[in-house]
Amino acid sequence: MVAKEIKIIIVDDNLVFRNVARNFLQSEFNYRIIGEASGGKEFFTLPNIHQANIILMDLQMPEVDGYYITKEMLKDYNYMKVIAITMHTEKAYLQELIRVGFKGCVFKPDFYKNIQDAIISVNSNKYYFPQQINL
Amino acid sequence: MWMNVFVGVFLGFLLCKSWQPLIKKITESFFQNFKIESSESKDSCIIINGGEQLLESIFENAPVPMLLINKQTELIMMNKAALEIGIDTEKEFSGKGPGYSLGCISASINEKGCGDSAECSRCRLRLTIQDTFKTKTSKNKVPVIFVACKNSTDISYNFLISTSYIEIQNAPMVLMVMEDVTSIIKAEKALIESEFRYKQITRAITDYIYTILVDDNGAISTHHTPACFKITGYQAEEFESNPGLWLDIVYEKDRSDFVLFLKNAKTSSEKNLMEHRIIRKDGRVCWISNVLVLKGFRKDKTIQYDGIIHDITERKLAEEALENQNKLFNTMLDNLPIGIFMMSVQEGKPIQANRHAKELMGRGIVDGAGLSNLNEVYDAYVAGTDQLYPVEKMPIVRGLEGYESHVDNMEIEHPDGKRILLEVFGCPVFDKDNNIVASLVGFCDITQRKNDEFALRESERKLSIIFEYSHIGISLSDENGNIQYMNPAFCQLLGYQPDQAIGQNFRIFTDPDDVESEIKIIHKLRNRETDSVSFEKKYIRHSGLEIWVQMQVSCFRDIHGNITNFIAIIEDISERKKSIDLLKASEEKFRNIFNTSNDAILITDTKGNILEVNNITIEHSGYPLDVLKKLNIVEMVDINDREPIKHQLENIKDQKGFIQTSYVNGRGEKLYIEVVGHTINYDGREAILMISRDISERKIMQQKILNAIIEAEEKERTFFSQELHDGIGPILSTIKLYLQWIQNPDTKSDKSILLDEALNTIEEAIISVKEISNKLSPNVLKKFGLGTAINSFVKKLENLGNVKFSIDVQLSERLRPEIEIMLYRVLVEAINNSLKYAEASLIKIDIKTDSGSLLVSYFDNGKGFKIDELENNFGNGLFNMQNRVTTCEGSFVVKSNRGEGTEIKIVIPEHKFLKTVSLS
Repeated sequence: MVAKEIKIIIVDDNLVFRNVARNFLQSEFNYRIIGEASGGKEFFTLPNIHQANIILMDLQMPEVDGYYITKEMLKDYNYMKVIAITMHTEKAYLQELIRVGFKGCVFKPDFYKNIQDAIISVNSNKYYFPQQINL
Repeated sequence: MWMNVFVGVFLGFLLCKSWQPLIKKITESFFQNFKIESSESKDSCIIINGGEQLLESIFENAPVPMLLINKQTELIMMNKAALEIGIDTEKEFSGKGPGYSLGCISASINEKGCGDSAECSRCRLRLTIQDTFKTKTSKNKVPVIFVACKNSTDISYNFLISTSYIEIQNAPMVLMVMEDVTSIIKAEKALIESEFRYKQITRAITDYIYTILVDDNGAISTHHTPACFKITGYQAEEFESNPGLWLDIVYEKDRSDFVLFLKNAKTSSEKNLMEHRIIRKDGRVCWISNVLVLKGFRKDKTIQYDGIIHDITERKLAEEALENQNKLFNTMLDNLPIGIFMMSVQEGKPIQANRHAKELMGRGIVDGAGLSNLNEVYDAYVAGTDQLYPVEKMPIVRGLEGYESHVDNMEIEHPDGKRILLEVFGCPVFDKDNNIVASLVGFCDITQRKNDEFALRESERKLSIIFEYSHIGISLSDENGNIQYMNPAFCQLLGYQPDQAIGQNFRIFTDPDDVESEIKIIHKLRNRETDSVSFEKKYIRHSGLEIWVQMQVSCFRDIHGNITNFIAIIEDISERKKSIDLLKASEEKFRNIFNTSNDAILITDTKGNILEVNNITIEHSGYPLDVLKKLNIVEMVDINDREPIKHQLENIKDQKGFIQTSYVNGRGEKLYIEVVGHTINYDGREAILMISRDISERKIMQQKILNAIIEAEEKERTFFSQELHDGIGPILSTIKLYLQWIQNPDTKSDKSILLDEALNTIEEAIISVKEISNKLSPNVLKKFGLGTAINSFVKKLENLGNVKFSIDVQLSERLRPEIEIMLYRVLVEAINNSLKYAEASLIKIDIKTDSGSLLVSYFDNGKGFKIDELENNFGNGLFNMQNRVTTCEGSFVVKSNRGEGTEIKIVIPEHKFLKTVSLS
């Protein structure tokens, strides 16, 4: 069976990471990256947010952080499935993430290992959070 | 009569020697005047008529003074007798010496006299002579008193003068014959006096004599002499008319005895005497002694008695009074509080002992007691011994010998063995003839008194020792402050000899300045506000030097409360005063330090209870003194510090305490304090002196600095963490992703491309690390110094294009590294602020040295700000900059205002910024 194509938007201020993430997800799993943003401003100017199935959202960004962007975005697109991506394992709290509306979370160092499971789980309306996340 | 005859004869003879007729005449007149009674006179007359010579001799020798006076009252002749009584012819007729002898007469005759013939002899004589000349008759016996002078002695004579008128050769003459009646008058006078005396005596005698005639039925008649009235009040006639009266007046109770007495008198011819009472007519009762003598039995069987009544009422009353007095005396004697004991001389034994004497001696009059054994009988001992009291020394015996004496060492032992110490006074008793009849002693028990006396003497001795040997001066003065006594210490303290000061007023010691206050004190005593006052005062010694004494003045009062004496007690306190003065000065000094200190000073006990605080403590603590003194410092301080402070207080002896703590004061402010404590001795007990310094400001400043440092560090850490995290972290994560990707054998991508990508990413990571490292500590700064580093930093920003920089650094040499780093960071921060908050378009930086100091000026043309309206973030940044500068002893001044840009001036002193080794 041909799996339905999953459309993804990546929001991260680090260009190097965006590049590798895009290449990796496209070439290995055939996901379609339909948009990229380096911060809040850029994100809300994207024309095709509503087309995305999943948004990968970096939590720490210079201007406005991922929490804020997610909260604002969910006001318009409450169905959107957002997966938090972060370097700071110690700064991510499960309760806070869920309250804001994230459906999953992947730590950057474990991106290679966990991102596919996360995307699949979240896309099929399941939560995906790492074992070691703070509560 | 004789005299008259002779006078007549003599006169006849005298005058007729040549004038016979005259003689005859005289003789006739003589015989007319003087009657011749006896026959002898007739014979004499015959003789007179017979011989002239005889007559002349008779005249001359007649014992009666005879004078012949003519009409001019001149004395013509006088005889020898007249001459004898002092009549001097020569004297008289020369008219000299009036008042004597005949001069008296002649003067009386010539003179007018007093005019009263009844009293005045002169007048009488003059009148008589004049009368005789006038009537030419004889006058008989005119009494005349005159004073004659005989042998220079005045003698008063009484004469009866007879005058006869005669004419001799027709010349009228008066013959004066003076009869001396002086002795007769004297005798008469004596008789009259004697008669008068007897009359008086008989009048004075009250006794009366009576006679009664009684028969068997009673008195028949009585005769009482008039004196009976005085005694009985009845007249003699009343007794006569009522013969029974004499018995009726006898007092009723005595009447039977009186009748008996009458009967007895009948049988006895001797004198019978009865004393009995009668009732007078006026009803009074009086005592009489009645002596009755039987006169005899008459033929008609009546009996006659003679009696003498004598009033003895007064005697009886006296006797009664005596008896009463005796009774009184005996009662008194018995009730006297002293023992009275009497011994008779005649009987040689005790005769009287009063009740008290019996009690004191334990016995009364003992039979057989005599002079020799008095001490044995009465057990009299010498006090305190068993030796019998010598009889000859006993006052009772001495009294018998006529001496008064007194002993106080006689002990009498009672029959029960109890001994009593007696004080005995003895004296002889005399009768009216001064013979000793008895000896009398009075004595009393002095056992108690002796004991008291002993105790008193003992206490007096002690007191006098205290008084004499005390180092405290004691003086006694009268109510006016005049000194009566002072002890040696007093004399010594004031430098006076006792005789110099006694009698002087106390004020001589007083400093004139103190007199007023002394008067006030005395006034207080006089007003009875107090009985004793104590004060310190200055006295002037005899030498004039001052002495400080502690003085206590007390006063004695009489029962009315008036002061009779003052007692002053003084003690030398000069030394003490001196040291107290020093102490006071020193204390004042310390108190000043204590109170003016800028640090709060407080004294607590070892438990931390506050005992004393200074003004600053009160100010800082915000509590009033009385509240403070109830507080405990341990309970005041921050709760966390309490245990350590308690511990430190307990062990403060071993160490000098140094505590930093905080407390909330009375105004609710939290104060930080630093407390230093020492143990001290306060009021004789161990206490802790604490000096508490308010370090609140320092503490706040420290806190601020600390906060700033922490913030700055935090900021840098955050910055670095962010740099690392956001710069290196993602890159490393990416590299990891690439490597995991390559590692996967099933990967769909070309592995060589992936490797290239990974290598590029590693290159990226290296560049990032360099950048971060440079940010942490600019390499340029270390290598090339402040100017280059600033320029290099600025260049990067200039490339962004929004802002222009004007950098002017004029430094001849490198600065100290820490100063370079400090200034670089401050300037970078300032530039960041200018760009971030002020949105400046121009930034100017000048760095130069000027007169040894380093001047850094910074300017931006941005929005500017009001310093007091700074927001926290920026404020902290600014504070941080300032702090960095001031820690290097530099000054940091910011000038800014809204719309006027911002200017910062930093000055660093020379010694701080120059390297120790000059590069040159």
